[in-house]
Amino acid sequence: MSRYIATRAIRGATALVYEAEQLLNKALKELGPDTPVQFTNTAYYLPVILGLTGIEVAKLGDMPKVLERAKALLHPIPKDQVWLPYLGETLDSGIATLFAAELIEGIRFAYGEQPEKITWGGKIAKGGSFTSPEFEGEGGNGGTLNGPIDDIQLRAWGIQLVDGRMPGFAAIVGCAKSNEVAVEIVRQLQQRNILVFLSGNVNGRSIIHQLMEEGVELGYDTYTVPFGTDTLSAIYALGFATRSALTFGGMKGGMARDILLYNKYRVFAFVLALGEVDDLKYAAAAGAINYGFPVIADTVIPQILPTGITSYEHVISMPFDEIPGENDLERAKRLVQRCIEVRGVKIKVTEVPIPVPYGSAFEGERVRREDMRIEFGGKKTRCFEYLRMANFDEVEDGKVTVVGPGIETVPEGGAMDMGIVVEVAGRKMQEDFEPVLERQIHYFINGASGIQHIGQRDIAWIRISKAAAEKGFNLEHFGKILVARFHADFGAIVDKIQVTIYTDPKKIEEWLAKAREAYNYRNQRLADMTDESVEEFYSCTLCQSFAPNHVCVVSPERLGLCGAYNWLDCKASYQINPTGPNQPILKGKCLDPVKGYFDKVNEFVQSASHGSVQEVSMYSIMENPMTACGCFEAIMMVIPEANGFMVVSREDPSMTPAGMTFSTLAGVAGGGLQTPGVMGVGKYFLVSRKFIAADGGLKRIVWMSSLLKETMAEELKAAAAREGDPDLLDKIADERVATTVDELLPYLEEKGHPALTMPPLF
Amino acid sequence: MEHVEFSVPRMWADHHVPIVRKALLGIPGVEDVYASSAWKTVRITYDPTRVNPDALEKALADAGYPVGVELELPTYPEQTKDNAMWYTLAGRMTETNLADLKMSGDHRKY
Repeated sequence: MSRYIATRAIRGATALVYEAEQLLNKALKELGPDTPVQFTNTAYYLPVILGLTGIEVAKLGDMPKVLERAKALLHPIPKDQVWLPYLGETLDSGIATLFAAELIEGIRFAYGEQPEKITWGGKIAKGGSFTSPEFEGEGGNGGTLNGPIDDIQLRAWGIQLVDGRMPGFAAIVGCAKSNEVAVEIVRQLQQRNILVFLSGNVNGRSIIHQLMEEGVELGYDTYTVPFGTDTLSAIYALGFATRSALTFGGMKGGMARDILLYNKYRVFAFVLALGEVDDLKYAAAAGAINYGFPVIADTVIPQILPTGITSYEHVISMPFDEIPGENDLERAKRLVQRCIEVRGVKIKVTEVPIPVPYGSAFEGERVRREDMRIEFGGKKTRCFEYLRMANFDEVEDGKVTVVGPGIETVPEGGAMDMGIVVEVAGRKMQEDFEPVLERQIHYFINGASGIQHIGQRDIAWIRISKAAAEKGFNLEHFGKILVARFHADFGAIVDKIQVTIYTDPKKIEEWLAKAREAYNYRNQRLADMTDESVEEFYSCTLCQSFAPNHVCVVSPERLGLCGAYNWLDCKASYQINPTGPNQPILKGKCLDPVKGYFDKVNEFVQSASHGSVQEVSMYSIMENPMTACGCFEAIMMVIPEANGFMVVSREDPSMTPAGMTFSTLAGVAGGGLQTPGVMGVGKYFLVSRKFIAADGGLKRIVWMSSLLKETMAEELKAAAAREGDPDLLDKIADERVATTVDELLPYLEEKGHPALTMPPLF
Repeated sequence: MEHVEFSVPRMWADHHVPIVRKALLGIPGVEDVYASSAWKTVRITYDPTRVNPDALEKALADAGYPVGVELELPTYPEQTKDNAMWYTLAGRMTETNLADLKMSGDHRKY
């Protein structure tokens, strides 16, 4: 253990706790103890404090007791000549630092100073927050950095965190050697799909400024989240880590040891300190080490090499200019590589032979009209994609053909028709997998930097940015992406693949007709697929890496609660990885066709949930409902007074008639617990014929987030008509008309909602 | 242009840096500021015909960062039986419980 690090960390911790105390006393005097303290859209109060102490800080008056806890964790600064076992004291001080930093950020929230407004070149950046769609808008009330990640986004990333697509996060603190190095570090991390959290500064300049100057898109969509320009805001990264354990690990506030161990073994994160390291950075790093997150600095600092709290080294120094490499870009690459080695993150990178960077982090990137070189689809032109199975001798592996004119024939900002036809052959390939694979085209194409893909089938809409076109991206590269990714991700079922890009109008007509015929056939096939028509369901235990006792049972008429896996996806996944998380479950004897009890399903769930769930009802929420991990798209909850249920979507932050917001409800619904009357669901389950069939089906829904009503209007209307009440959607209340039971009941009575006359639920 | 360097012990973390920079860069004649929270020093490049080091020192003091003045930290653990973690730990390290000694065997005595 380094005495130098211990000294600076303990001194930094002591100073920060002192600063927090001063600030708290001032805030209590000026604002009063009842002033609310609330991070953005979270049910976890100040999450690090909640997780490690169990204290729910909701107002300033709740803070003094946390401050006392922080003080109790401080230690005397080591003497120059006296040997002491510094590690434990340094770690304690690290936790005290985290408490103090979170208190200070909480107080800043109370003063309205967080999320931080960003100045850029002396001016406030335009638009709203980085993660809001209006950021690109004109004027606005000044740009703000992100501040803490909200619960909605944490859950939205949940499935990627658990299935390994997103291996972990990098908390970058400080400022890189140059803008070029800053961009390269972030690009390297993005290409590996590692979340990047940005904070801190050196001499007032932050890596956030550097990336903004270089035009790097920041925000949730590009996995690059700017927290704030000081090291205090790095607390949000540890808040994210703590909430991962609370959300997906089924842990409760106060389970400090479990939460820290959970992070050590399941959340692959590290801290990258760019530029000089001050006392607070040492102290915050000590806090991060408690979570098992190592620290890598690009300057000369003492190292802590033995393993222990972290899996490998605790603190590594890699002075940037001493990293071997021909130039700074190469040094940046090696720095990132070293970070990944030190944390022990396992990453599979698929080499895609295209002239622009490639990785899942670019999936959410937008190409705005003014940055666009060309678009396909949308309002002006047609664009479709069609994947079909073919015989081995019909497919020449790796062949990419463009039939028709290229993008150079279209003026800048123009549009053209395009069809992407993918033909695959494989010994294990089945016709049923065609739509599963076809849906991947969206993700695969979107992974290219500067390319935007929206929609699917014959409503696909693709844009190529000017920057990508200037780097040489053309039509052929769509094919190259698909060949590389299908081979890498679906190699078990795809042996050969060829791609043809059509821009010739006659050929487009011809292939579009064939594609539409196939879409219709698939729609019919899916509609005919019922729970009764198959012999087996599939399990999904993907989320057990985060929620160890949760198991999803996926049937043709009930998709996974994350919305990402339906029965066909699971079937394909089983073919690809026969020992993976999607295992066939023979239904066995049907014990109750109405509630959906099957003896083999029960047996499987008992074993896969490690005995925590004994029985599961596929079609009821009131009796042995399916458990949830935390990735659910929507939560249902019984409203006893209305004799029905409400459904709140993940994106809806509003209050519900259950008296809780989505975030609060999620604490009840997640973590692999079976709670009758509460259930996490995938939103397309709402329109299934089996949707809570035992409890009365869709007609029991008395309240639904307006977002769901609007985005799924057509499907919901069709389902309502099937249930015999075509106007049902209008009878269902939403947050615009009712956020309490008192408001809900008169609305239901006025509209004549069927739930009021259905048999009592209890 | 001339340079001057001040020790500013109260600028010990990067959230103090923007305050120090703002206080100095707002003074006519100050061309550049390098504020290092790691070394708790600030290096100022200034035009001696327009501003002098005394004025810079005063600006720092006005902003709450007086030159050369250490941050006086309270000693939180009171080094008494106040339930501080360090005290519990120190007790475990320095005191030998007789019951432990008896259980651990004769070899511990030597």
